[in-house]
Amino acid sequence: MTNMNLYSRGDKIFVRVNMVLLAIFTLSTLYPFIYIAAVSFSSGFAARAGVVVATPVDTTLAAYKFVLSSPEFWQSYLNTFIYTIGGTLMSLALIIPAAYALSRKQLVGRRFWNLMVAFTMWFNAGMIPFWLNMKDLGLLDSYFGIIIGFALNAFNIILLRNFFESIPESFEEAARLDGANEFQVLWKVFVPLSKPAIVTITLFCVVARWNGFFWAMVLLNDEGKVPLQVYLRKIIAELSDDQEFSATLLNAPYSVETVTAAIIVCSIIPVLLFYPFIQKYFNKGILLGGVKG
Amino acid sequence: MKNYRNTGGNTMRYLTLTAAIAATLAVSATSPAFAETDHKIVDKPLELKIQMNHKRYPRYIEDWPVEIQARKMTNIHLKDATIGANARTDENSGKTEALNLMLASGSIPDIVGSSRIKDFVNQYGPEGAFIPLNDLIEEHAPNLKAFFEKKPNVASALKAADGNMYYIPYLPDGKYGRAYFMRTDWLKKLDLKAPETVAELETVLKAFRDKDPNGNGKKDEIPFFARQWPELIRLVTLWDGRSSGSDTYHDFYVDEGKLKHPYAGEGYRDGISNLARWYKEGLVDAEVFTRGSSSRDYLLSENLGGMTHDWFASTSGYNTSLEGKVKGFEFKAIAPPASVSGKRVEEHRRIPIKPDGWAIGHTNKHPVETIKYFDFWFSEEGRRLANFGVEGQQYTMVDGEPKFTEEMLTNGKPINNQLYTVGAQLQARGYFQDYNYEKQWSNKFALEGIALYDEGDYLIDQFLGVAFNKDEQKVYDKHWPSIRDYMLERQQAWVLGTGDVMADWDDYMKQLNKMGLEKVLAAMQSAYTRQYGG
Repeated sequence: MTNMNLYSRGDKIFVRVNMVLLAIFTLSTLYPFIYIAAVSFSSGFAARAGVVVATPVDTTLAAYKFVLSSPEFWQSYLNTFIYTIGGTLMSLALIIPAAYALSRKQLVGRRFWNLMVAFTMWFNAGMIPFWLNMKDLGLLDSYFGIIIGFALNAFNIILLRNFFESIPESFEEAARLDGANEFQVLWKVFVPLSKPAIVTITLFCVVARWNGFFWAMVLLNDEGKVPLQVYLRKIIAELSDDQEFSATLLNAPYSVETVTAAIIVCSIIPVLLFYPFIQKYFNKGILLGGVKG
Repeated sequence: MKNYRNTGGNTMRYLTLTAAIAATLAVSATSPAFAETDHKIVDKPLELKIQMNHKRYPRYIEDWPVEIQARKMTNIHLKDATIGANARTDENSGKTEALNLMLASGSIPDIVGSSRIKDFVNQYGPEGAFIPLNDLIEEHAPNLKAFFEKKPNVASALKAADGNMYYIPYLPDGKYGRAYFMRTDWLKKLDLKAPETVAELETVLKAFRDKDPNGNGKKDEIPFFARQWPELIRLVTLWDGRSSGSDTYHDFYVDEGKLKHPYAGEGYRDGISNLARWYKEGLVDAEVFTRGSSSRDYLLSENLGGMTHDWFASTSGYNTSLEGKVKGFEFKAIAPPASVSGKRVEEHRRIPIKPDGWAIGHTNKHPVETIKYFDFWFSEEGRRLANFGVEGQQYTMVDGEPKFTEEMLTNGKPINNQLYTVGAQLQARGYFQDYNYEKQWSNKFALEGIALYDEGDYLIDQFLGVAFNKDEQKVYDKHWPSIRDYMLERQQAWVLGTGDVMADWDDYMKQLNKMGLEKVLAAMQSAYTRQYGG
C-alpha cells in the first residue's frame, strides 16, 4: 500500500475493500474494550439505563473508588497471580516431560499411553466425583489443590508431543553420541528447539488460569483464597439487589454495571501488558534455526 | 411446585434408617423450663453445625452481632460448616450446587439454611436426609405452632408430598408488590384524570401517544412499557383474564378450588386480542419483548415512558432520583382501572412464603433443642432480632416500637444491605419478616401508593404451589414444559400480530389438550386436594 501505482485497477479496488473490511473487523474486536472502559467511568444510572455508547456518560470515578478501596479485591488479585504463575509453572513442569516421553519411540506401550491421554479429552468423571476426589486427597480449599488439580491438559500435551515428534531424529542421535542422557536430550536439545511451541502452551496455560472460575468457585470455601473471577461474581451477586428494591442503589454513584466494568478493566491490564512480549513468538516459523544449526 | 432433579439422589436411600433413629432420640431428650422472657434453651452452651448458602452471605458468620445476641439469649451456638460457600446459591437461577456438594460430601450438618431450599428438602426429606418437623413443632415449638394455626394455608403450602414439613421458611411480610404507575404530571398537563376504567385507560394512553406530553415536539412517547414483558400480558386482567396465579410468571391459579391455567381462559383470549390491537396502534412499547431490564431507567430518564406495572418500592424511587433531571417528573401509583366487567384487580402481590429457609439434618443429635432454636426466631424478641438487628446497635425502642438509629437511616447505605452485614434479615434463616422494618425507609410515594391500594382492597388470593408425588411429577414433567413453550410462542405471535387470537383460539385449545393440558391439570388438582383439602 505504500505505492498504489504498483497495483492494477482491479487490485486497487480489492486493496481498498480489504482495508475497509479489516477496519470493520478491528473495530468490532476493539469496541467491547472501549465500551467496558466507558461504562466503568460512567454514573451508575447511565450504565443501567444503557445510554453509554463509546464515551463515559456523567463521568465519575465512583466505581474505581469502590473497587480499589476493597481489601478483598487486592487479595483476590494477588490470588489470581499466585494461581496463574504457580499454575503455569506447574503445568510446564509436567507437560514438557510428558510430551517428551510420549513422543519417544523407545517408550514401552507408547500407543496405549497416547490413547489414555487423548481419552481424557472426551471423557471425564464429572463435577461431583471430581470434587469428591479432591476432597479425599485433602486438596479442597487450598492454593496447591487448584494449582496441581488443573495442571495437566491433554490438548496441550498432544500439541507439544506433535511438535517434539516433528524434530528430526538426527538431533537426538547426535546428542546421544555426545553422551547425553534422556534429561539432557530433553533439556539441552528439545526444549531450546521448541521455544515457539512452549511459549504457545505457556500462553494457553496463562489465559486459562487467568480466567479460571468454575473450579475455583467450587473447590475453594475460604473467601480469602478466591481468584479475581470469583470475587467478580461475588460483587455482582451482592450488588444486584432484588428487583423489588433496586431503588436502594438508584442514588448511589456506582451500580453493579459500572463496578463490574471497573473490575474487568483492572483485570485485563496485566494481560494487555503481557501479550505484546509473547506475541513475537507466534510470528516465528516452526523449527526456526533448527535444521540450519 | 417445580421439582428440579438433583444429582446424587440415589445416595440418599440408606439414610432413612438413621433418620428414624434420630427421630426417636428426639422424643427422649429433656426440655428445660421455658418462660416468656427467658429464651435459654439449654443450661450449658450447645454447639450446632450449620450450612448456610445465600448469594449475599455465602456462609454463616459466627461474629454477626445478631448471632452473638442470639447465642447470649438461647445458649445455642451455631458453628459454620458451610460447603461450597463460593458457589453462592442464587435465588433466581434456582441452582443449589452448594447443597449438592454438601450431599456429595456425605455429611449433612445439624442445620441447613439456604435460598431455594424448598425443592431440595422436599425431595431429600422424604428419603431421610432431613427430619420431619411436624411433631417437633407440635410438642416443642409454641410460637411456630401458634403461627401455623393462625395461617393454615401457609402450613399446608409447606407440606412435602408425604404430608410432612421439612423446613421453616422465610416468610415475607407486607402484601403489596407491583402496581400501576403513571406519569401523573403528564395527566395534569393534558388535563386528564387518572383512568378509572379500561376504556378511559385507552383514552389516556392514546393522549400520551398523540398529544406530546413531554413537549419536545416529537411523537416519541411510549405510552406503556415494562421491564419484564410478562407485565404487558398481565394487562389481560383488564379484560377479566389472568396471567399468573402467583408471583412466578405463567403460573397456574385456583378458581374456587379448581386448578386452572390462565392461558387457557376466555378473558385471556379477549385480553390478548385487545393488547395486540394496542401493540399495533403504538400504545405499547414496540420493543417490549426485547428492551429488558434497562427500559425503566432509560424511558423514564429520557422522559419517554408514560406507564408501567412494576414494584412499589423501586418504581417510587424515581420520583426522587429523577427530581430536577426531568422537569416536573411525577411517577405515581394509580388504582387499577376497572375491567370490562367493572372489577378492579391487582393480580400481583408479595408471596407470603419463600422457598428459602432452614431445615434439620438427619444426623442432628439435638432435634428438640434445634426446633426450640427455630422457634426462638418466631418469639417476639427473636423476630425483632431477625428483623431489626440488635437493640442499641441498629435500633432503639421508641414508644414500644423498634426504630432504626439515626446513623443507620442517614449514612447513605441501603438499610437492607446494612442489615445483611450484621446478620439480620437473613433469608436463609426461617423467620417472619416485619413490614415495619421496611416502612421506616420506604419512599413516601411508595407509602402513598400502598395506602391507595390498601383502601381499594384490590388484591386477590394466591396459589401457593403444590408438592407432587412421583406419579404426578411424571405427568407434569412429561407434558408441561412443551405446553408452556407452545403457549408462550402463540402468545408472542398474537401480540406481535403474526396471528389472530380470535381466529386461532379453537385450534389453540384443541392443541393444548392434545399436548396433555388436561392431564397436567388433573395431576395438579390431585396434589392440591391432598395438600389443601380441596
